[in-house]
Amino acid sequence: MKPARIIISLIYGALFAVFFSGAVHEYNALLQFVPKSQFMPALLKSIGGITIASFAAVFITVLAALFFGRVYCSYVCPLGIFQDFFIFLRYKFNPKNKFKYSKGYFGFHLVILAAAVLTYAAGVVSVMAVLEPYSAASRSAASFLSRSAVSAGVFWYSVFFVLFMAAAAFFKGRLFCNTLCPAGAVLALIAKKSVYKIKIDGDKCTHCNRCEAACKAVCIDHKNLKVDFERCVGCFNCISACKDDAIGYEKVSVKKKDNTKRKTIKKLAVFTAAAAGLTLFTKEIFAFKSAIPVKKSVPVLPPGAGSVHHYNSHCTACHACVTACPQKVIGANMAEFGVLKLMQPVMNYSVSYCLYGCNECTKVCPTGALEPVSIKEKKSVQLGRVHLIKENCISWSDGKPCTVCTEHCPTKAVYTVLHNNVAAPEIIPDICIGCGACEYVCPAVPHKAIFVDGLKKQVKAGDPVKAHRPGEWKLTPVKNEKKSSGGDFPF
Amino acid sequence: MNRREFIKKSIQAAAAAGAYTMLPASKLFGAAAEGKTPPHLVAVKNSTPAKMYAAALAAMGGISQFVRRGQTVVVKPNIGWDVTPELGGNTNPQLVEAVVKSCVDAGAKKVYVFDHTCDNWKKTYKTSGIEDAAKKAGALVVSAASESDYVNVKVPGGKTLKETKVHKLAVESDVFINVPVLKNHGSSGLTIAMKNLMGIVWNRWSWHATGLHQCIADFAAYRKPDLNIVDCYRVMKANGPRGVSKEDVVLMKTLIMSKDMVAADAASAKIAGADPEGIEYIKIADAKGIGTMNLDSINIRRITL
Ligand code: SF4
Ligand code: SF4
Ligand code: SF4
Repeated sequence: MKPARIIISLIYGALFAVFFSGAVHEYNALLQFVPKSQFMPALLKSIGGITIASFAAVFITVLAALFFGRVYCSYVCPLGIFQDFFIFLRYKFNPKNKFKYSKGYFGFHLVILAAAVLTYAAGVVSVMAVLEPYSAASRSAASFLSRSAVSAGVFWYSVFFVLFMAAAAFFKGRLFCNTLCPAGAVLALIAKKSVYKIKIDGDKCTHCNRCEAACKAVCIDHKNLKVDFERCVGCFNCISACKDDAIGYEKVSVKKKDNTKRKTIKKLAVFTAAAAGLTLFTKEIFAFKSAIPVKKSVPVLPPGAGSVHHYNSHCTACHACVTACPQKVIGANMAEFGVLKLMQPVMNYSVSYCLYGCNECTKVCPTGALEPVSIKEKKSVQLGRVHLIKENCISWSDGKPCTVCTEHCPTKAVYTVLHNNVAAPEIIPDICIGCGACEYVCPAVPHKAIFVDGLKKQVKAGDPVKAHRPGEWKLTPVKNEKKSSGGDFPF
Repeated sequence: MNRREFIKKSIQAAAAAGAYTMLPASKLFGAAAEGKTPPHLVAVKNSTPAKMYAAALAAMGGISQFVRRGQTVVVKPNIGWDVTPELGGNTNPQLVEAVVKSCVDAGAKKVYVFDHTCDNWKKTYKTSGIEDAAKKAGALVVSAASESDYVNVKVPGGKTLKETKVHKLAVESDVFINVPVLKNHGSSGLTIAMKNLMGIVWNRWSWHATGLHQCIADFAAYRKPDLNIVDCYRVMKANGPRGVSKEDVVLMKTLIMSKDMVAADAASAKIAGADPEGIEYIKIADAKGIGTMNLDSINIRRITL
């Protein structure tokens, strides 16, 4: 079982790296599987409306956990695979340095889960975004591998996070998974009830301590023949380590009444209340600021985001869209939306613009923060609206026929008029789709003359074909047409 | 020195003497060999892009007039936008295919195809159909999206554009064939042959900020293409250069071929129904002696298939 785990997780890790390397241009089904197979995003997506992919991911993960515990953590979770690498190094470089059983912090873990869930329910995804393992791993991978538009803040945070995780794994094994990870906590709750559990057979056990030393989740107490199965990540290191065939899965008899259960529930209730109080408190502090935006503009969201509200309450900042975007226009800032919405990606039109015929980002989002949008629909989704500052514009104020903005606008929401006989841009915000092409290409410095302001809610843009463009520049028609070849040519 | 080189040298000499604009090449050297001299410009109508190209090429004396065995060739279509061929935003892929094929048949060592695109190059190469078509015909389709592929060049006689960065393949290749598409353009009026050369330039966007028309005309003196083949098969008449919908496009089934970019632009402008006089860069280039916009003064072959 352990070799199988290693092979599967290596394959999975490789796919993950390919996905987040950003080297792939279009994401096929196999690669789209990477983010979509993730438990927490799929679970969050299912809350908003189940899709086949999200249902399958949740169903399979829960089913596996119901039978065998947290195998997800060893097979599918990219952060788990990442940690395992450093744990492997620890074994490699310091084989004497064995893991030792520790009691665990299940109560604390549940508080974290409650905090993540409650903040999420309150529309604050940050706790989830920082702790949810897939998002954390993929965001870091995207920051390093994919040359995507991340801000320095996100980059350095990712550096910190990766170093921290590497060190934590090296010294403390799967401590993160058993104290901080919200997905781990959910799976731990299920594992408590799983049909098969890792058990030590007291008759066969020679107390050699090999299993305990091999357990990176530090959940095996060989002296008391005890396994805290809620913390077991299903890596099967112990099974391979045992030379006496004394440890393995065993079907659990369900008859015993467990009075610790009631205690746990009680504890959970207390912690939940505490976490709720904490959440409300923090929300109170920050809400004051974020209720009155000091910025004039709303950030522009990627297509499929629907509204700031929908986006903010679904996006866990996993940066799958950041990686998938061939234009690298989706960037991540530390706190574009304020501290409560850490690292959520937004459209960064100083880096690039959104391609008219592209919908890649909407295909890969695993949480439903970006909903699927066909290319046809996408061409009329209004992400934002164009604004023109004529005083900044080279054509209007400098008398040079720049109009590179009109050139790039796919709907001719920016079109050309003549101003003092010089080509100059004019806008029709109604048919603007907010792609940012005009803003990106505008050469005016230091301030752009044309820009896109975001919308609280993405709407449908007007029809560019039917649009009336007042004063549009028309070419002088050809005069003295010579029809010297029977009218076939105008010269 | 073969005749072609002789003519070329003589034209340069004539231009230097300031006589060129008054006495176009065909008049200077054409009289003696009337009938055999390739026309200054060929216009073909009413067939597929490939057939019109073949007819025009034949009228020009065949591909051997332009490409010889062992030479490297750059074929430069317009691949600016991520749009399908029906929208007329890029050069027709069938034409690109035919041009590449003729160069390969002529024994060209290598035929390169590229463009410094506006939209994402991987997407435009693919969506335009040009990448597949050119590869099929035997071309090497290469990227022009990284600055390291460009070299600094001086622009002779440039008024606004004195130097710029040009793709090194365009600088180094033996033969340069310009294959623009004719379409409406919100900044320059029309984009045709001269403007298509912005696609071999790195800092193309700075032209907009410093004076687009003057830069286009200035750059035209840098290296005149050995041949210009203007795709007027589908012509975008409005909302250029990107186009909004098929409604902007008119099927004109025409092709213009000339060694003279200015003449090619003037003739193509008329195909689009626009007066070349109304297009600033054509006028400047004509005045600079890059070529002639006076279509009455040149030898034109008109072919209706
Ligand atoms: S639709 Fe726009 S934002 Fe999304 S991937 Fe494509 S270019 Fe990027
Ligand atoms: S106006 Fe700007 S943002 Fe709007 S569609 Fe045109 S280019 Fe895109
Ligand atoms: S790109 Fe900017 S400077 Fe140029 S015309 Fe448009 S708004 Fe003006």
